[in-house]
Amino acid sequence: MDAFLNALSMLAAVDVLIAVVSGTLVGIVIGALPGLGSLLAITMVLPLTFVLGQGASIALLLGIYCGSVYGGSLSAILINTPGTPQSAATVLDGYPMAKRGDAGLALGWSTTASAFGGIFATVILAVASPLLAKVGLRFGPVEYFALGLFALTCIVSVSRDNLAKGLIAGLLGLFVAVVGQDPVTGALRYDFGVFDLSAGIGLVPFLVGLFALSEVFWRAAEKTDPDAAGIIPSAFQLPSLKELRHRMGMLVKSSLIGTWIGTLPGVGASSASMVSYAEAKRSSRYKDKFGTGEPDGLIASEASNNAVTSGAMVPTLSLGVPGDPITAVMLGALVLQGVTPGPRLFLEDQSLVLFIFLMLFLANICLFFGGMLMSPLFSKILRIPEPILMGCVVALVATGTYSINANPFDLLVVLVSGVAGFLLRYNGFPLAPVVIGFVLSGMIEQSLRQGMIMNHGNFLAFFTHPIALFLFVLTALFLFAPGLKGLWSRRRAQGDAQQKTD
Amino acid sequence: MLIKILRGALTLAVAGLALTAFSSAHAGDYPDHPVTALVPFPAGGSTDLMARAIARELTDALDTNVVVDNRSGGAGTVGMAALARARADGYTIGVVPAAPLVNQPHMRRTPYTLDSFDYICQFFESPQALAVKPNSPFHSLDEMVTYAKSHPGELTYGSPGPGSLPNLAMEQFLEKAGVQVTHVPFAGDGPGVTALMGGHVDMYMTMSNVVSDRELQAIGLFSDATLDSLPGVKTAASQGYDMTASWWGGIVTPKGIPDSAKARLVKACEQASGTDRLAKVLERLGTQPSYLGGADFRDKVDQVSAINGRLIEKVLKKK
Repeated sequence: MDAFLNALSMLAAVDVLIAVVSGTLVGIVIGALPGLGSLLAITMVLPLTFVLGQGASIALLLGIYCGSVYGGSLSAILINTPGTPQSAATVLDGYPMAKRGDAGLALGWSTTASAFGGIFATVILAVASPLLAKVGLRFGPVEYFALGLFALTCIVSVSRDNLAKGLIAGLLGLFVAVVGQDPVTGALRYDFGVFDLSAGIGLVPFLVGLFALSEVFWRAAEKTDPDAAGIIPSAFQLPSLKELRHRMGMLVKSSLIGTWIGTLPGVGASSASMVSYAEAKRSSRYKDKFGTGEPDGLIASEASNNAVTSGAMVPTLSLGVPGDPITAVMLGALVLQGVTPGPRLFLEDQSLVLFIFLMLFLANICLFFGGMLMSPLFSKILRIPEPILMGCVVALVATGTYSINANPFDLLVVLVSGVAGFLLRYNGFPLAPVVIGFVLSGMIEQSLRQGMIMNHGNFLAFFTHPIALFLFVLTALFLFAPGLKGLWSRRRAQGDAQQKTD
Repeated sequence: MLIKILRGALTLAVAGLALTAFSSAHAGDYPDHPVTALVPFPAGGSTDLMARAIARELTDALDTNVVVDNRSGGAGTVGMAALARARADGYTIGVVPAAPLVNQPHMRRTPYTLDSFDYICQFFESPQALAVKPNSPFHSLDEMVTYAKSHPGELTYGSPGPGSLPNLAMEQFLEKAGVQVTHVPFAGDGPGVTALMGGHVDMYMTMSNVVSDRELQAIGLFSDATLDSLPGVKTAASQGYDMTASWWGGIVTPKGIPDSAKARLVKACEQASGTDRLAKVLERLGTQPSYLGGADFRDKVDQVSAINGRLIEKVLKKK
């Protein structure tokens, strides 16, 4: 109780409150700009933490973190480009909704789901964090491999129109991520003697090119009918309470998945939203409508990726092991503030841990109201004449990508993946599987090969791990169930057709 | 009128020339504008935090702003390449850990060699330690080595990556002890240490600060003396294995910077490495200030590069 009162008194300072509110708002804006992600947002304010006190620094960083993860959904919905990699799965249903004229409602859902996911995860964590940290330890390479494999199955669900093309696109993504240094032997692969390729293809330039730039090319190539060109943006619209109750199950489940994946070190929000989307696609009442603007898909992605923000703080704080690159930066910033994350932190400085949870809670509330206030602003983006909007997108993605590493090669990657994305779309290949493959490739390859080394080359030993076995079964069910069902209904349809011709 | 303008222009030109001459005559006044410190690793990592700490000290010592610029990628090689390409005027310096210098050139074709740089100073070093999983039966290097001798290849050890400093240090140790332990590379200390804590690997070689921060158990410390932060952990030498291994690094610049700038940088680095403030930040990051002059730093780089080059050939390229 003393610890709680201490935490509350830390929170009641003016600079702390200002820091969390402004952090969240700045985070939303940066997250919404394609190419500028959570990582950049946090590193941008890092120098400020040298000046601010401990409480205000932590508040600012957490606000930025939560805000930027949510902000990515705004551009995902409005311009078909995930503002941050974490929102890659949001594009799948968010953009079709906006295209249909429900942009306002889509924003409403993503805001609600994000805030819900974030708050839900924070509450779970405050209660269960020491325990969750222990369970996270049970995940070794074999379990990570199984998890990665399960996450890959969402390729099947996002390529409903043409499974073969979806799988090809997924393989392409898996393959592109292979360029660079071999994670086990350190040998170089597919670098063709080009030094810049030996560092691999960066996630941000690749993603930005594939989605944002190809969208620009696409719109430039499209013959737009001046009457039908503009999507009429509806005002920001919160889902009705009835709808909310109706979809409560999906919200809770996606938040749970996000929280859980967040606690696994090294998986991160991008994979979490994919896993959650895959699971939603498997179990949702409206699974047939996924990919056409179904709120459940949007909820699955947004609730989970915001739940990750809180979830990822668990291994960061309790083990001192960051859950993703973003929490790695957070960890560094905390260390600079004189906080040493680790098992000892929970025993020795409970008020600080509580303060962090309270801040996460507050940041998610700010996010809800910030989203409500700011998304109409982003809706207006759609009213800007398309050539100007697209021109701005090009300028933004170029400067955004370049600013991360000041490496001109990244711009080349943007351009090449933009052209590649355009060609893929032109030939009817879905883009989402490329990203899914790309994001998961590293984790799957490394954990598979680590597992093989540890089991002395015996793959069958993978099935003796209970958690992994469970995930393998889930993967198999997910993969084959729709296929079998499809086969079944096709047979019946064929039978019917035959009867008719008879 | 025209003549007036011409005369004005001429005066300006002469004044300009004079100014240029004046400023070049004072090129010795290094530095007269901010210095960029390239860091070949991303913002927020331990290298970055350390670089920011030394940049603050250098800002005081040089009396001009020293601005950190992160150029990450390719295990540090992208930033090193950018540094080698930078103008050698003393206004671009690099704050670099040893790995991209002594390991990576043996593993890939880098657009730089050890000769692409001028060596200013080493300013930090922290020893490596061998940690074991929770409830491990091993309490000393000997116990582990004895077991590994009768069970070759059965034990596993993790490292933050293939060809990383801890990977090569462990291979050097195994070679010395004459045993086989299977290497499981991870993508950095984050996933690696978690795997150790979950008991998925038997041992993990890492920096001593990681061991003390995460409250891991260590069976050997690869330094000359024991550390206060790791009470009860004996040095490898005292256990009969005469070797040391550390995470270390310093400041380098592109080859051929003006002598005056170099002298100024060397002085600034020596001064900066001695401050209490730096010592405090480095201590929080789990490493210690450890100063070596440019020539000694260069010698150490050459020495370790030779050892690691041989190990890389032996361990990573044999397959």
